[in-house]
Amino acid sequence: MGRIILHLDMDSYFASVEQQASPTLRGRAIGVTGRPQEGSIVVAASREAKRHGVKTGMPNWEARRLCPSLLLVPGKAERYIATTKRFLAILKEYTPLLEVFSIDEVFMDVTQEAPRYGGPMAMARAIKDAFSEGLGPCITCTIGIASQKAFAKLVAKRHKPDGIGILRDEDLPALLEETPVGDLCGIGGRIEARLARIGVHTLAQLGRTSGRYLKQEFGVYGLFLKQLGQGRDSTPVIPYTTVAPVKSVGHSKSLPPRLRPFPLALLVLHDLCDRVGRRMRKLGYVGRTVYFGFRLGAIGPHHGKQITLPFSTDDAETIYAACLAIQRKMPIQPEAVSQVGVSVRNLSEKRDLPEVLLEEDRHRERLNGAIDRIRDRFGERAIVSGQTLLYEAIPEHVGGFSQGEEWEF
Amino acid sequence: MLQPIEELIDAYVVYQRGSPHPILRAFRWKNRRFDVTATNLVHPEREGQTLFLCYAVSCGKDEFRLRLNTNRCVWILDAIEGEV
Repeated sequence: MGRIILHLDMDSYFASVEQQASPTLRGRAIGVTGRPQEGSIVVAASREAKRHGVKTGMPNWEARRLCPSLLLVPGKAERYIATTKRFLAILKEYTPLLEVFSIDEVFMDVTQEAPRYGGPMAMARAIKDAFSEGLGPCITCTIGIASQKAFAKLVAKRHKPDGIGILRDEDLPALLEETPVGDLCGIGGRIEARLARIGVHTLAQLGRTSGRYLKQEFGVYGLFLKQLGQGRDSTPVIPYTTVAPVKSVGHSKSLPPRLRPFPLALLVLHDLCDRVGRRMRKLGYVGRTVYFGFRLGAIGPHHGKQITLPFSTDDAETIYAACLAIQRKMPIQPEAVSQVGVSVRNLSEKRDLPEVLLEEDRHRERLNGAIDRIRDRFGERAIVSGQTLLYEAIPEHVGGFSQGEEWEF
Repeated sequence: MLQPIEELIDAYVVYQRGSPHPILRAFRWKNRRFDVTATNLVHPEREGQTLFLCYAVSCGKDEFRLRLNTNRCVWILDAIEGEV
């Protein structure tokens, strides 16, 4: 084995954290959701719920139909972020080559360190023991070991829950022959369907497909797919210390039925623009391109459009006005939407721009600065626009797991 | 089912070397002392400049949610599970 890569995937993560916090939930079929009482989805199902067929992303009503005893628990993002920070602190003791792939997934390059622990299997067992001691008995993980990231992740997926799996290089050809292309991370349903049309179903078949053809069909990504099919993934583990540049700042919300009439959805959109502006100012960015999108009806198509402003902004009201301008230009004038989203792209650092000249803009900046200082001191909801108060008076909860704080590990 | 309480309480706490947070040993509520038998989860929450440490603990079969306001050094009993 050349490199030694561990892929660590937490088991039923949010549900496990809730079961750890509350012993009465242990051993029960639970689903973590944004809004237990309304048209929300299950964002994480406990092992017990999974045994009844409950899956991530399933609407609450469908999950309850499959598992009538299912207990829906409102999620608490702070708990999951805190637990992730805690398990990352444990993992940093093993190697600095740690890539945070998502809130519950990590890649580790332990080529240097594994021999000190008696090999990768022994190291994986040590990590699991440290988790049990440091996080509690309910929060478990599965670890996949291979010489390449894509295959370490595949191995972890096949040893869930609470397992350890290893793929030795000599076993790779057999794995490629038997593994459907869709099992590998990076090959989604659409690519899988396009490959199936040309008779490619397994990874080995993908590896034998003409590189020229794959490049023609999928662009440069086609060559990467061919490499995966040949069992080659040279993607490095990108350490957590590497800061990826911010490309866009955005928020979206799925709406409960009572907020779906478009005028009410616009109140939520105004709040989202406020959050986007606040985050941009915290990050020190301004942006010129504003994207606004919505989903028609409960499961209707998504519509979205963007415009580029003649100037850069981090001001919520300007972003909201741009969204309204986009909406006026769209051919569809919706009566009801189930989701709204806004993002600002084409970012640049504010410190690189000249100071604003117009008094009106300077007034706006001073106002935003004052709002930010109040929120820094007293909390995000200490000062909000009147429109937001109107919309907050309607629901108790809106939304899923948007982070209230920036991620720092 | 969690029942909201939101009352200030007296707490018995140990600041232990190496522990990432103070260890809650017991607390007093409604003239009763509750000894913590398990700290199930602790996580921080921030409201502006105020940092809260949120505790999910068990006292025997009963479950409690408590919060330490680290700015004011006061403990709040947030909620209880079931009827205590």
